[in-house]
Amino acid sequence: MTPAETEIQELHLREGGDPLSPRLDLQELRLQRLPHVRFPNGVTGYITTTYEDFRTALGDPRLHAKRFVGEPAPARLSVEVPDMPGFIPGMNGPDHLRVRRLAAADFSVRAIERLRGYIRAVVDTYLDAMAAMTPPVDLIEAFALPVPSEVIGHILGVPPEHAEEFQTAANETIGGRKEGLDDPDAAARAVARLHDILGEVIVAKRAELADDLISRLTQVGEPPLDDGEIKGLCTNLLLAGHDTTAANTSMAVVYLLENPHQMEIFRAQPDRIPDSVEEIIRFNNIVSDSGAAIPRLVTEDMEFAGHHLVKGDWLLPSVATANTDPTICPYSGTFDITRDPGQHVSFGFGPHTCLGQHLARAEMQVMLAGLFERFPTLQLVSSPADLRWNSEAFVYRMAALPVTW
Amino acid sequence: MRIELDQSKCTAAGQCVAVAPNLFVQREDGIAVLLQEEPGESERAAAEEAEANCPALAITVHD
Repeated sequence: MTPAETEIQELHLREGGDPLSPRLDLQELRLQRLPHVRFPNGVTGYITTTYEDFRTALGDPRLHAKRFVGEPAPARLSVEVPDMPGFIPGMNGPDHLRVRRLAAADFSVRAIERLRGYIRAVVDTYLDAMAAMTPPVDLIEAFALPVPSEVIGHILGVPPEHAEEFQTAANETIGGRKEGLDDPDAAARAVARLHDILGEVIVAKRAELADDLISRLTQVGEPPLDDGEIKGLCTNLLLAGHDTTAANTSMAVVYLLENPHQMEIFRAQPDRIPDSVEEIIRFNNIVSDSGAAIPRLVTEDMEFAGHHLVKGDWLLPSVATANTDPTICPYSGTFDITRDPGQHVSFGFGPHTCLGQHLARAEMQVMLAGLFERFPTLQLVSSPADLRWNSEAFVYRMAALPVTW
Repeated sequence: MRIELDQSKCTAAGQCVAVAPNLFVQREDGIAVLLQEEPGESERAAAEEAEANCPALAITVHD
C-alpha cells in the first residue's frame, strides 16, 4: 500500500499525562485494523491493534526481524548499532534457530530454578548495601539495575569487574541516552569495547573451561560458533539482561506503592507473587514507549489483516494493544495483581519469543519479595508525576527512582 | 515415553523443531504440531531437550 492511500497518523512519545496509566492514544488506535503510523524517528509502518494480529504477524516467516538500523523507533534519532554475527534479534529462519538453540538450555525454566538460590544471594547483597545507605536512595542505581546486571554476567561467566562497562555499553546502544544520540559513533565504540572484553573472556574460557555459558558456547554447535558469533550472541544477552528487568522492577515498586490495596495483597499472599509479577509484566510495556511495537520488515508482497503490504513496508506488532485487547483481558486498563495471569504477550511471540523470560520472572519475584520484606516502610520521595523518564530508550523506564524508608 | 504438547501455550518459538525435528513440525502460523505421541526410546534425548528448551513450557515428557 502506498502512503497516499491512507492517512498517516503521528505516533508521539508519551509526554505528560499519568505515566502509570495505559496510553489513551494507543487505545484509540484499536478502532482501526492495522492503522498506518509514523514513529518519532520519521519512519512509517502499519501497527497491529489486536491480540490475534500480533500473534499472526510474529509467527509469519515472511516478516523478518531486523536490528535497529532503519526501523521505526521511539527515539527522534535512530541508534546505529554496528552489524555483528550471532546477534539473534536481527537473525531469521534456520540461521537464527541454529544460534539461539545453543543458548536455550541455560535459560530454560529448569536452569533458572537452579539459579534461584544464587539470585537470592545477589539480591540480599544489594539490599544489605542499600540498608547501610542514608536515604533518599535511587532504587534503580542501588538495586534494580545492578542485580540483573550481575546475574546475567554470572550466567555468561564474565568477571564482575566488567559490569560497569556493560552498563555503559547498554546505555549507549539501546539506552537512547542524549550523549549517545549526539555522538553517532558512541554505540559502535561501546560495542567495540564490549567485544574487546568478551574476546579476552573467550580466550580465557577456551584455555580453562568453567561451568558457564561462554565456556559452553566455545564447545557446541555443528559447525561450532566462531568467536565473532559468540561475541554477538553474548552482546545481545548482556544488553537484553540489563534495562529490561530494571525497568519492570522499578515500575512494579511504583505501582505497588501507589496502590496500597494491591500492596497489602502482595505482602499478605507471598504464594501469589508469581501471578503478581505476571500482571506487572502485562501492564507495563517496557519495549519502546511508542506503541511498544516489535518492528518486522515485509520481505515479499502479501495480504495482512485486509491490507496489501509490499516488500519493504514495516509491520509493527504492538505489545501494548495486544495486552489490552478486551477479548483476552477484561478491564485491561486496570492494574490488578489478583487477576488470572492469562495470556499476555510482553515476551513476544514466534521465533524471537524472549529467551530470558524465565530469568526475568525469577529475578523480579525474588527482588520484589526481598525488597518489601527488608524495607517494610519503603516509600517514594516524590509523586510519580515528577519522575523523569528515558522516553527515547529502547526500554522505557524512569531515569531514577528516589526512595526513602 | 509419552509426549504431551499443549498448543494453547505454544508461542511458536520453534525451539522444539530445532532440537527434535522427528517429533515436531510447525504449522503455517508457527504453532507446533506433535508428530509422534509415543516415539521410541531413541528419541528420548531429543524429546527431553525440546521439553527443557520450550520457552512456553508447552511440552511435557511422561515416562
